[in-house]
Amino acid sequence: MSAALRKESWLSGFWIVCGFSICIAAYRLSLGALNDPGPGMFPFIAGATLCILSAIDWWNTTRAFRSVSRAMEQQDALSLANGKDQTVTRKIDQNVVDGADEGLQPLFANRTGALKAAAIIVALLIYALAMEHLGFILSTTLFIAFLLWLVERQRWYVIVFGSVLSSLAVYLVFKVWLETALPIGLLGF
Amino acid sequence: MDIFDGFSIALTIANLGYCAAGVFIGTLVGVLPGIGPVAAMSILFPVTLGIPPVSAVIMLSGIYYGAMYGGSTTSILVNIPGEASSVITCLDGHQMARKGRAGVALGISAIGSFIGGTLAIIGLQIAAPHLAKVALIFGFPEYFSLMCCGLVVLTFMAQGSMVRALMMALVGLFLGSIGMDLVMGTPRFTFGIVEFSDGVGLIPVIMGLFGISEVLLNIEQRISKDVFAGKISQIWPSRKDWEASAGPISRGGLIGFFFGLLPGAGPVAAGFVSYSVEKKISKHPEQFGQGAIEGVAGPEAANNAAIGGAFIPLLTLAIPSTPGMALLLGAFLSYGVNVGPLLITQHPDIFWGVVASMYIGNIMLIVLNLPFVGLWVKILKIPYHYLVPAILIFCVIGSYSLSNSIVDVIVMIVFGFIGYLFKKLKYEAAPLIMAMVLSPLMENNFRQSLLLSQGDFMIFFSRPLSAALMVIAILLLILPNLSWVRKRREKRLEASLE
Repeated sequence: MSAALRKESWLSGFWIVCGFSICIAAYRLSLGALNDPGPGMFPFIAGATLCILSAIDWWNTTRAFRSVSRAMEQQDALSLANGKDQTVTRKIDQNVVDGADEGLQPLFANRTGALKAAAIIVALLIYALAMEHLGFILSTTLFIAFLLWLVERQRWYVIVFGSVLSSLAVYLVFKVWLETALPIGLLGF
Repeated sequence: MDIFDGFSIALTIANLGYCAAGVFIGTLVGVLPGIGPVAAMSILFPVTLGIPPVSAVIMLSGIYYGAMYGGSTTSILVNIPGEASSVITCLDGHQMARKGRAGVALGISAIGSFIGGTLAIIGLQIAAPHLAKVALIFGFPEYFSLMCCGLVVLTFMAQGSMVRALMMALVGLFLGSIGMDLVMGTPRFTFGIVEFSDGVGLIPVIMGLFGISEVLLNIEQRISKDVFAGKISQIWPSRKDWEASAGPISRGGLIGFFFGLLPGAGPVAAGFVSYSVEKKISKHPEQFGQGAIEGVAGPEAANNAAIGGAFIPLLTLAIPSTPGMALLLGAFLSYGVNVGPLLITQHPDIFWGVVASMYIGNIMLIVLNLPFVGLWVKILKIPYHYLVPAILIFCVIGSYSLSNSIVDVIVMIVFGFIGYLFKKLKYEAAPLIMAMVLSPLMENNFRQSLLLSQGDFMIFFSRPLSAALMVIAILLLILPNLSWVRKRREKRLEASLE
């Protein structure tokens, strides 16, 4: 419970910092006057309201967590007084709380899946940065090959032929047929 | 100009082709779980930059309403919504399939979608010109208040916390303010990046938040598809099925149309409301969830009608009520077309052409979804791991080709990651997108109003229409925080969950 509350507090803190930073940057741009608003006024209002709402969100979340834990403590005390097994009651209660607030569940329950998602983000960034140097066809072939290997491991010939043929097909459709601008790269394609 | 002139525009070979391409792609992305219509529209947006605006909007709208048809096929056959608005169709649609009535479920869903969609287009055709005339009396303060009210309604309709939805809207307002200041020409929050002087691109942000993030989430959670293996026969509903569905379809059409008008409600909420209305008034509510045809017919008519309804605030007031409409608004602005009350008089070809194309598109969709249902079943069997490279490459090409810049691709990837975290942390992306697209218009109206009133904020409350809109916004902000309203809402939510 406290871990989930900590996570929510960090989140609220993050949004407050964001709102505050927007306010400072907007103030530096000049707020102008009410009868002649400057370029910073509108973003300043947005940033300030974001700070206020983040604080309200933090307050709401903390209050909700506290009331749930108080209710659980009361129920524990009641079960002890009645001679019942308090672990059972707590388990039931925890299930209710879990169902009501998914914030209690770990953020990345499936670690392998989350690592795959992270690998895809990194690969996408490398692909985007490499595209202008390696050219579209080569970088796309490598990127598709990586995805075919990562998402659901394929046989080597599926990876090789699949990536080469599909990147060529995409190139033909977009560059040759639809005449879309694609990065050329050092090799000229 | 009227609807007949619209048909003369929509029936040209080129526009028929764009309409067919739009509804085909729409059905395709509707059928495939893991990519939605908004992501597909944003991927294809760069392709539309070289064609006339009317053809571009015909195609993009076709994708949007086409996806509503396709989504139900996946819901019925796989029990996974192919598209968010078809989630409610899983309940009874899949049960019908399990009882050997997959054909009838697909049939009534396509027919319900067609009738609901057509009713909404008739509504759009009749209501939009009148609303546009009313909107002509709007001044700067009225527009600002209308946009405030729209954003508050949107956050009020949010599935999760209203405070968090408002926070997302504020982040969107900030993102929309990045770039050159419209009045003074000062660069704002550009961090020295030249590409940001025109603002952060809406399309890469949408691709990231709705396309990339969805792929990341699906890879983490692994979509397992168990496609219905039985034979699909007797698509045409029997007389008994027709009798049971006629009421739900007409009620669903009406509910959907009115929900489409509300910012944030959209097709998803329309489907849910239609389902609960049908369950409530049914003589045999216990059959809902067990394969009741009313539970398919009503929501399917409603989610299609909601799209037609959503076009009204977009085309007459420039207020998008769903992320798809926000994308269309962004597209209109890129084509140099000003949406709003003057659209029908200044660009009647676009308005009437698009409305007429929607009638044609709905007919195309019923043909695509009934006789060709086998094709979609085959497409459904494509494993998701083969779709991942295709979706990601299309997103990269789409964002790069917007301005031949890698910056847009990086923006898309960053927002893909942010969208993935938002989904995990239960923050909604829709208010962010809608606020981002409205931000420049909202700021302009805000500043002009203050200039007009010499800095007096009371201008938003002293003009009747503006005051009414502001009062609605304030009431909606206060209402959910009143304890008796909250308790009633929780009780109603519990009852609907039961």
